[in-house]
Amino acid sequence: MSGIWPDIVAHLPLVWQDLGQHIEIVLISVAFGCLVAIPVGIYLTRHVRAAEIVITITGLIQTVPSLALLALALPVLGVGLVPSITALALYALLPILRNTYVGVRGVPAETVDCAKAMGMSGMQALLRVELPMAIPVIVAGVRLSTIYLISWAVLAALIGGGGLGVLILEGLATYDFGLVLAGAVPAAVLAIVAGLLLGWLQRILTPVGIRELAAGGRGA
Amino acid sequence: MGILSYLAENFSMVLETAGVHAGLSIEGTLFGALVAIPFGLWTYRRPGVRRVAAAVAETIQTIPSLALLAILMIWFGMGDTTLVIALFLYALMPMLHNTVEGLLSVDPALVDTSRALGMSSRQTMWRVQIPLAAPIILTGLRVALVTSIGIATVGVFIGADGLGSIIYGGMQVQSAPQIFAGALPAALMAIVFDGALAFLSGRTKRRRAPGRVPQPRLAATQETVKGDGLD
Repeated sequence: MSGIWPDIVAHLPLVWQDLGQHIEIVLISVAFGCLVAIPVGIYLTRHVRAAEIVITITGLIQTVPSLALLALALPVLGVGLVPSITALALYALLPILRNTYVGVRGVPAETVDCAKAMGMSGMQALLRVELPMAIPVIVAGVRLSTIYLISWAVLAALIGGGGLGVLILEGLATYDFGLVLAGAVPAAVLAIVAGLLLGWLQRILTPVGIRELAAGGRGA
Repeated sequence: MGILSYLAENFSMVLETAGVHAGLSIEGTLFGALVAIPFGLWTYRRPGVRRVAAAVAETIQTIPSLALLAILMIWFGMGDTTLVIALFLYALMPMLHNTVEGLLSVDPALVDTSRALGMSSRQTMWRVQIPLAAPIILTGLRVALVTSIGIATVGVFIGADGLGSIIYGGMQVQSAPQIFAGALPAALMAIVFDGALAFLSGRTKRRRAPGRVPQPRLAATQETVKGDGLD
């Protein structure tokens, strides 16, 4: 393997450029996903019948293989950075929407009733009770979305999205293993680091009360 | 005709490729299950080992599919073998996680009762714990298989067979009908396997667990990823 690491080093300037682009694509898509999916997810908790339909559909879409969806986006959206981000952003919606819905619905009705009995308006109860309690689940959705998108963004190179996938695909096409690793290793590290970072965010955003409850014993 | 023209003209080829695709996906998932389920049985009472194993499995899960395939390809070469190895690795996390969660969800009182009735720990495991954990373990298998079908489409880039070759071929010649002919069976396969295993998981729940057995909590996501805030 000794011949491969120098290859990666030789590709470093390219790696930095593609890594930056990769992160950019993922951040834009996830940000868009959050902006749309969290409000819609909250709205759905107030409209359960619509929610069942929407959640079932998002579940179905998530079952479709990523390459299949990206390939299907090609004839519809075309080639380039904007189509890639569009396809990724649409996909980013799904886990966040689902988790926002499940998280907010998971807040016990008694707790919400209590908040209202104490004089909170519906909006206050949402912002001060329901959302804080649902935050761990919502962030878990954002984390999952981010990890998926880092993986998808690799494939988005196929439809002209740029990013680290360019190096991998080029390396595979030319049997240049150094180039393959120069794309694959940073992509793997990026995903792992993002997973850890958002896992940590999930922990610190969890309200202290819930954290203590969870520490008190499982299944409580 | 239009979008379905390629599918109609190449139906038997598509069907055959779909068969290969399903075979590879199932193979990888089953290898994963064969390793992860026994390991889960052994490890669920050992929180230390469990945590390390879960962290390793989860880290593997996080790696983008094309990146892992490309890295494995350097060691194992182009072709189906490398794809199956990757699918095996991706199946570990859902299988291990759900096996452990399933076993932990069994009411300890039931285990104690079984032991008090004179069952050995092995009998308790086979006759009480595993049957009660079965729905959750099957959910793990379901997640692993659906993931596997998706990742198998990416296998085309490391020279593996399967529906990815039709999809990628279609992308190269910019033929929407050909892309569709690969994507539609792949999507349908994932949805059908998902539904079939969900049904099976439901069956084991009803048959084996009448009444007051703790139900698995509603998974926040398709994957019951550890730390999803619900466990």
